[in-house]
Amino acid sequence: MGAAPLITQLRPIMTTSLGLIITRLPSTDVLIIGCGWTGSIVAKSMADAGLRVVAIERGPWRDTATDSPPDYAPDELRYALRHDLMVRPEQTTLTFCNNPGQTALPIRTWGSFLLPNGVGGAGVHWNAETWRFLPTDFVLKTHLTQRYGAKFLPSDMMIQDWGVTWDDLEPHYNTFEYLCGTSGIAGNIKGQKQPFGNPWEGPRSRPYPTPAQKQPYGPVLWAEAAKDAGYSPFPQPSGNLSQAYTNPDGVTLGPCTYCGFCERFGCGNYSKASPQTTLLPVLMQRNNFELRTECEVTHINTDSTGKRATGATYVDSAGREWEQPAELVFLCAFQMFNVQLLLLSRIGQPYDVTTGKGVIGRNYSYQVTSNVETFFDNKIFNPFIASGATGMCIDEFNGDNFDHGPYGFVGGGYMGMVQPNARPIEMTPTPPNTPRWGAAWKKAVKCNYLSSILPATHGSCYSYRDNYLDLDPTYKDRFGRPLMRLTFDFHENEHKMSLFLTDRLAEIVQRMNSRQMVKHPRTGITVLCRTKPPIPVVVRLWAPIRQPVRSTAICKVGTCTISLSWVSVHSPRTPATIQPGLWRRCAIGHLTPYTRNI
Amino acid sequence: MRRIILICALVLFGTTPLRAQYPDKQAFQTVEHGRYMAWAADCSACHTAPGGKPFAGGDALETPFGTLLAPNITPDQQTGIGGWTDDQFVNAVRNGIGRRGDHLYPAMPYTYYAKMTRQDVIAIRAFLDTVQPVHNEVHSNQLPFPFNQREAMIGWNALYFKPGEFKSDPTKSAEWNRGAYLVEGAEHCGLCHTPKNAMGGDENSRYVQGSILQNWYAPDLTDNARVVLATGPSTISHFI
Repeated sequence: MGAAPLITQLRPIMTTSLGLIITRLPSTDVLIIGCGWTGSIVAKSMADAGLRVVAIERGPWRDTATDSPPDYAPDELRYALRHDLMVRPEQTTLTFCNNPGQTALPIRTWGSFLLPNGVGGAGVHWNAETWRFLPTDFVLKTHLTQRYGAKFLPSDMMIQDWGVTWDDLEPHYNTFEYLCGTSGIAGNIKGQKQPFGNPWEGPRSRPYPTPAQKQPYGPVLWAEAAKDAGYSPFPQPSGNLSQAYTNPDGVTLGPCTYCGFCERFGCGNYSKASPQTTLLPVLMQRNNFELRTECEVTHINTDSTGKRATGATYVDSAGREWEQPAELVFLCAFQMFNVQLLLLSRIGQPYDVTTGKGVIGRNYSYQVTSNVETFFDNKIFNPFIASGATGMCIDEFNGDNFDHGPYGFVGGGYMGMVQPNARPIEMTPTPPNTPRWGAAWKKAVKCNYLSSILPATHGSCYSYRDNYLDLDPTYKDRFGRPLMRLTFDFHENEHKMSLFLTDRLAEIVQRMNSRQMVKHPRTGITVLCRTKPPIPVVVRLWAPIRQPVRSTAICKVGTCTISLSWVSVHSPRTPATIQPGLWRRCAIGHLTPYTRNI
Repeated sequence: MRRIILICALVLFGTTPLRAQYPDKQAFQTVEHGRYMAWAADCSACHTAPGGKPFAGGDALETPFGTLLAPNITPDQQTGIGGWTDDQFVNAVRNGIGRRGDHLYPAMPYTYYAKMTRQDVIAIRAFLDTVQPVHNEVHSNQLPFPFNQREAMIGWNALYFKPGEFKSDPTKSAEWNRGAYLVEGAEHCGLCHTPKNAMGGDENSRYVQGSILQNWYAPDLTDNARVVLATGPSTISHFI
């Protein structure tokens, strides 16, 4: 595998007048914009079909051996706090406000969500929690309307059915899990309920390819309490593997060592499923695949009708501008940048918040998390022993698995003892009323670090009329293009849901006989920048894990998102390809298969 | 309180220089800065042959002593600098010492590049790492005997090469110092614009006063009244 971009077909034009001339490259069959999970999955299938594939990636080449070796991969300061694997706001960012009446300001330090950069995309730094949607999530609007009546839903809630069903997607979930080697216990195989698995999951065609990960002490105790309470706890499905696994492409992953450096980090052990550990070793050896890194696509080109994409224009690291024509264009960048590219390329109808018309940028949504911080006197949990996806969960309060009638809200989430790490800078548990720094704080951390746990809920966040993406009227990127503007806030429905989930979680935790328990439901407005300092700060940089602010910008309708992967901008073999359905998916669907929290 | 001051001091003086010395070569800012520095240092003037692939070398440099071919500085592992460590790269750029300890000829202006900071040179490396790797074997040394003996450069360096980073002049403005840093370092203006002696060394008493190189005229850059080149408010003209 090469350690640098492979460009094989550049015509030797221009070494001067940089940035002034656009050089047109020879056409290719397939052009992929963004080489993360979806980009590399699409690239692999297209290359397998014998097509010539070019992928363009904004960030650098990344490989396990050179970029996340075990000797420095677990550098918390570098990766967790300084966001080394994320796109630098200097390169591009977005602006943010809570409602259409506010003036959005640029985000200059990532906080609540982290936008990935580089080959592998968010698949490099994700936690590898590998959930599936519930079957009802796919037909959400129809299902909720039928069960509770249309008036039960808030009037400004804009949820829709996805247009694909569980049955449509099940084979693809299956393929993805067998690509990754996902570790878990099946709860439902072809309609047959299985012991110890998630009884609420949709029928799966096969068991997980590898057994569930071993569970640390905290999750084991929590699961006993949940069982006592009458629930059915099961191990969280994990892309950090319980044992070595060789996938159908012949790539082998190693067993996880439970080091707890998953989210925000590359895995040095080849244990976390990522494009680097599952696909790229095969893909990079294909003669019909070419990857151009540190090249930023600035525009998707269309023909005169505007209905057919003919390629893309991009800028390389030397500032030179290139046009890559292609027969097929796949938009596989991070969700916000997909929307931005569509808007900048004038493809599809932009969403207009005043009229509610248009689809590009509509239905932005997020996630709602909460937790119950729990302190014990006589337990040593060693909470640093974890993986990004260890933990025991219950699904009784997810989606529409329970009757919402008495509660006056829709949506739900899974909950469990799913603490993914206890890294020293971020994980400093202290009971309420402890001083925030100084000797007393230190003493409290020392007392509680080993003997506290952080069970959490991961809830849905449905889409609303006033949560959307559009182009910022003021702020521009380095090419002079408008930045993406994100307008978002939580709604009453989500607050009610969070209170409900947190209370249910606390009832289970109560059975664990702790010294003290502190509930942190999601309340108030979103913690994204609200004030107007000259440099808006998204969240406190040192936010400890107990504050559920570190979540990703996944757009989800259910609590888990293995969602639709990509948007086919056009296909000459299947005409009339710009369909509203596809565009809507682009706006509401996160484009990589991962679940919550980075 | 004293402890806090100590920690602040450690953070300020302990870690910052380390980070500066070893910048993250994958960071967008580093690559962008490297691109800027590579353009300032005009790497491609020699390392990109006319009509050739960027930075793949092969351009012939006619010197009074014979011909040198500019090497391939793309990240190709075999024929470029892909297999070099950062320290080897810095040593070549700033000290004129090649990867295997061989001496570079001062047609590669290490005599000027020595003035660049290590982090600027690493940034250039970070940028070069992003260009297309090109497999292009270049045999640089086409000089006739005795000039093809690289060891001769030990003596030459002793006479004409003053290693050491640029030292700013505290009596001048930041703008002046920035200009001086660029002119004396990356831009290596004097390589062409300062007259050379018989050994190819700079006649520093006539710094950037114009020179003739292989039938090219490099004009006088000083504020000599007869030459109206260096006017206007820009940083470099201000310095000159």
